[in-house]
Amino acid sequence: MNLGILIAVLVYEIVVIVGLGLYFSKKQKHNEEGGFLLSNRDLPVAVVAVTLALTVLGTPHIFGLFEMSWHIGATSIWFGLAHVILLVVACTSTALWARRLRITSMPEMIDKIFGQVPRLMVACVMAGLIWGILTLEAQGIGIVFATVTGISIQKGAIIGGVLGILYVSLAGMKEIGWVNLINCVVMYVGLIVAMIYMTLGLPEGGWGRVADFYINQDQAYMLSLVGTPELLFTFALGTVLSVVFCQSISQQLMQPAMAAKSEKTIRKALWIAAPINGLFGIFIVCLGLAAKANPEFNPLGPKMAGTTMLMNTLPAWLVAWLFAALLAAVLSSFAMAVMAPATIFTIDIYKNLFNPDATEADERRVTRIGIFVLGILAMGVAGYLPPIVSAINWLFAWMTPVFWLIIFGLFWKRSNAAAIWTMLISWVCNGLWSFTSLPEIIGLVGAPNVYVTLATSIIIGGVLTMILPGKPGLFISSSADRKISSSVDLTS
Amino acid sequence: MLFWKLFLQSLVFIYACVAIAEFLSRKADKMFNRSGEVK
Repeated sequence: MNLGILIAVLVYEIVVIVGLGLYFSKKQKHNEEGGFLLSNRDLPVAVVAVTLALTVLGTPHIFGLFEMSWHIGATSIWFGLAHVILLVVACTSTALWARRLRITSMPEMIDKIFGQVPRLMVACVMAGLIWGILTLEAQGIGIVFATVTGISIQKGAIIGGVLGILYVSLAGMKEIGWVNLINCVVMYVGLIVAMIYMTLGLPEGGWGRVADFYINQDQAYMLSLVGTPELLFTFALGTVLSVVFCQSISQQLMQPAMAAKSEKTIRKALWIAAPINGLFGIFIVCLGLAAKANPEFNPLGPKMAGTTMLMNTLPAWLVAWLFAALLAAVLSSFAMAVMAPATIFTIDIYKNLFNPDATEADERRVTRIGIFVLGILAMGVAGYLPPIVSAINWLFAWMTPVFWLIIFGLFWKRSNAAAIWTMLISWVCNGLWSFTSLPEIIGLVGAPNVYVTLATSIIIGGVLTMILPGKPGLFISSSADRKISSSVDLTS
Repeated sequence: MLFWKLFLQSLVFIYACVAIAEFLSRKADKMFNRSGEVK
């Protein structure tokens, strides 16, 4: 075990997380509404930008991209670009709608559009889905620890899980935001230094030799962002659809946007968040391509070549820095993935069903309990999970019908019955696609789950919304406009 | 160099997406008459 590296990184993380957590916890006005969950809606541009970027930059961006770059080359950068499109959609539409409705949780938005039953359905599924992502992030933290220090994935997940819970439980959203800002700087500077060091350390011929390796094997497409038309259709398009339709209405991504100071803050944050997230993948993919082209690391295969090359080539101080950088990326996603379902539980279950008069102190206490319980459960199962990328695609497909129902409900028509049936049918189809031989029967083996939920959401959701009775869309209904305007302050 | 080629291509794609979406979003806000900002 590389004890020196482990201790150095743990000391750094604990000082930053606990230091900022305690500072903001003391500074926070404890009775002000939304203080813990939404930082009193006062987060500035830089904090919102890095939090949005890092919330959707986690385990799949690191280990998934190392592995994907081995198989499909530079086209795997589309995984990162899909998240850019997601941030663009969120910051220019869904996040703005969420702010205008002055909500704290996304199921609350469903309530405003469709009513209580769809709200509870979305709350249960969304909380479960984000907890699923949380377990994968816990697994990712365990793998980061295991790779760098040699301890087991299970032990790594427990150490990282404790850090992840501290990341969020002391001062809530404000703590996550400011710790993210520091970690983001450490992460990017670390990545750039590591990249320079790796470039200088490449065998004679440098990147030209890496490119020659693929050209000589008649795999020049591996060096191109657009790859082949087949890869663009199966991988790039599938990833874009899956990521955009699930995450752009997910509590995980919406909560930092709801905590922003104003709509202008969100719009400005996009210009910073998009490159922070989208360019991260370039570093990982290039390192993955270099590892495959290097005869020393090629025999290790897609799972180990990239990380082993970094461990063997970089000096110990830079390995520690890179370890801190990767840990920062995963911990920031872990923090939002544990905060989001705890928020949904507090707002949509506890406050909505059991204690409508809950005070800020009650909300903070229940959210903290949720954070501890969900975090500990995620650590417990982290060592026994399926491969990260395949699991995440299945999880993401669950939210597709909710995205389309929100679009229908805001801009077309609100039908409670159509919403309930569309969600139920889409979710059943998603399950059948994953756990039965349905794809083989209809000859579409390998088609991503999101294609199925997308088709059912648009076709069944569209038809049911058209034929079943309902009210006009919330944003086109004059009475709804008055209702929204009276509850929030709209200024032109 | 491979890294810079991919880096610049991605950067152009990212800012093109952001700029186009920002333009369309403002147009859509005007269309639905909801340009007001929530404080």
